[in-house]
Amino acid sequence: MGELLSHLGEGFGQALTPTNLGYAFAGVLIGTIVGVLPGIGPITAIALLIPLSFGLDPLSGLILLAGIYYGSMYGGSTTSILIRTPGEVATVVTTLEGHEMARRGRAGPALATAAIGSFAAGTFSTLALMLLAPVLVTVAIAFGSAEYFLLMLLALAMTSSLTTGSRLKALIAMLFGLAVATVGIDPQTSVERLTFGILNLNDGIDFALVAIALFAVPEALSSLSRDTSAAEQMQRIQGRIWMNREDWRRSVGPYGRGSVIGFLAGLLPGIGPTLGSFVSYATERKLARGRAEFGKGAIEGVAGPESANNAGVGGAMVPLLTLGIPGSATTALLLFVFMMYGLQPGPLMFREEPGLVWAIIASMYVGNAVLLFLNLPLVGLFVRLLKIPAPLLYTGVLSFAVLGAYAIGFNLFNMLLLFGFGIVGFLMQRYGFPLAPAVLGLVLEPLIEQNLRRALKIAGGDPLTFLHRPISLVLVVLIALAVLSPLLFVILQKFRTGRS
Amino acid sequence: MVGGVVFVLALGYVAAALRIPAPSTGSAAGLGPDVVPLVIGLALAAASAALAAQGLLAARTGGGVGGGSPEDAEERPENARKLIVVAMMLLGYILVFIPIGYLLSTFAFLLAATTFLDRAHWRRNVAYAVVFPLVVYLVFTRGLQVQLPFGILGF
Repeated sequence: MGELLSHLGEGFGQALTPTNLGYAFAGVLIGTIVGVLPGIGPITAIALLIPLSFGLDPLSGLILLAGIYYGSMYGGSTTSILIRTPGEVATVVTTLEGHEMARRGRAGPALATAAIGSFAAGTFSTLALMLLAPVLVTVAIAFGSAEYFLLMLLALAMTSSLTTGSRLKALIAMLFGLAVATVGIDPQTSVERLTFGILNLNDGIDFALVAIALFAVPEALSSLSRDTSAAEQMQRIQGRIWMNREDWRRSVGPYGRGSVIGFLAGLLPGIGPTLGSFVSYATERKLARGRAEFGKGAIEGVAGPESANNAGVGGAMVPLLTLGIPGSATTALLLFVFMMYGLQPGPLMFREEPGLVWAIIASMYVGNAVLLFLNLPLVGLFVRLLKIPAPLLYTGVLSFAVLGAYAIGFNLFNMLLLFGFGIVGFLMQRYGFPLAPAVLGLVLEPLIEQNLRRALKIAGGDPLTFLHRPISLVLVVLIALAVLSPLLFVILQKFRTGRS
Repeated sequence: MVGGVVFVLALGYVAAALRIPAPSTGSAAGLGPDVVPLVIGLALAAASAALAAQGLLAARTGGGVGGGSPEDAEERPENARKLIVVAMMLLGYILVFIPIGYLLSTFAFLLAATTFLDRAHWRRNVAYAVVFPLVVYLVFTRGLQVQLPFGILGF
């Protein structure tokens, strides 16, 4: 415990230097602004802004991008409440009660409870991360290549089986990501793979480039080419953005439950934060049966999911920091940023770079506090951003995407790849292929392949090595469950409906 | 339909993976550089074949789910003409970005695209097309030390 506190103290020391405080502030501010813009969620925001961090030192860059992460999460809920346009799936639930509250002139309390819930949950989940991470690290230090290979396979299996849409399409999207990642010179044998003799492909296809292409370009193209129709009416904010005693009383319970549910769901790879906010909504609805006005603007339905949503961020950071395994597209982007700075998240990073790790964790506290103090007074200002006309906003996004592609490789080839992958992303979205599994596959492929080959080499080529160690055997069983459980579920349901 | 297209692409990927040369320094234990791409390619082919089959099955039973049609029936679909024009403008922007420089190419792209989409507010469009590139240029070159192409403007 004493060690923990001293680490944390050092972390705060670093996070609170004027420079890093400035980056946390800038990240949260930029994140909120970008998150408020309709149709742009955390993933798009981080993908587009990765080039901003190229010139920064690792800690500052990570603090900036982490700030953008929670800033844009929060910005997304503002649009959900006021114009019923969620920035991403995790805030879809907020539109249900939040927008109803706004329609009844209670936008102020809705925004306030979202902000305070996010702060409470963010603080809780950072605390839980702090306590849980060192424990996981002591376990993970015993992991070898075989375990890492299986863990990543598990993450991929869960991502494609815990999807909201077609499981087959999610699987195809994930395999597409893996396939793209195999292009380039094989780092272990120096053999050219799938480069078709194109020199520019020798170094592989840059992850940030594909992320920008998949998350920014399709959304912008699609928004620009839609015929303008009567836009969703924006709800005015009446009165102060604060809550009365009754609102507080009704929000506190959902904050607590939402925080715990969100954190636990965030630990799972795949749809962590989304799952958390949906489960929290369902829980609050069930608890409020008969007395609250669910569906007509119940504050519990905003307080719970918004807390769960933000607690999920902390939850998702646990597997990322301790194991180096991202559970969502957003954390996959953060993993890429770590690797860009030459850092490999995992138990070793905790041992070798404790200063950096704890400064990042401390900066999450700081970011959450900044978020609260920035947003409550300034929300009226942010809302004006919603009035930016679509042609200006999305041509700006496209221009920024091109600039990002240029800053990645300083050549035409990368920019053309951006265009190509942008069109692919557009088609994927059009035909219902989720983009997140593709990004996850893309970032994990090199690690999966490296660990698989290393594990086999150590075992002298014996594939049974994965079953011999107890931890890896458990992981194999879990993977089998992740792959088979949806199937079993379907069979069970058919069986039931067949009988009744 | 979609499943079929992905299937053909997957076969192409497998064919390319088969042509990955063996490493010059062979090692007895462990996988060669072509194994993982082959596995990915075959899995992709299998999954897309399943998707195509699902689509065919759904088409036969009359259900629209699965393969072909756009999944989310949004209330406002994209206008194909606008989509193609904007995409071509984006491609044009990319092609001239380095030769004529960041400021000029961005100004031209923003002005062309916003005018095409919303002719009525041309004053606003011009102002935006001038201010946006200038601000971004200054932030990147001065604040973030990222060099952007000068092009023919020479500054």
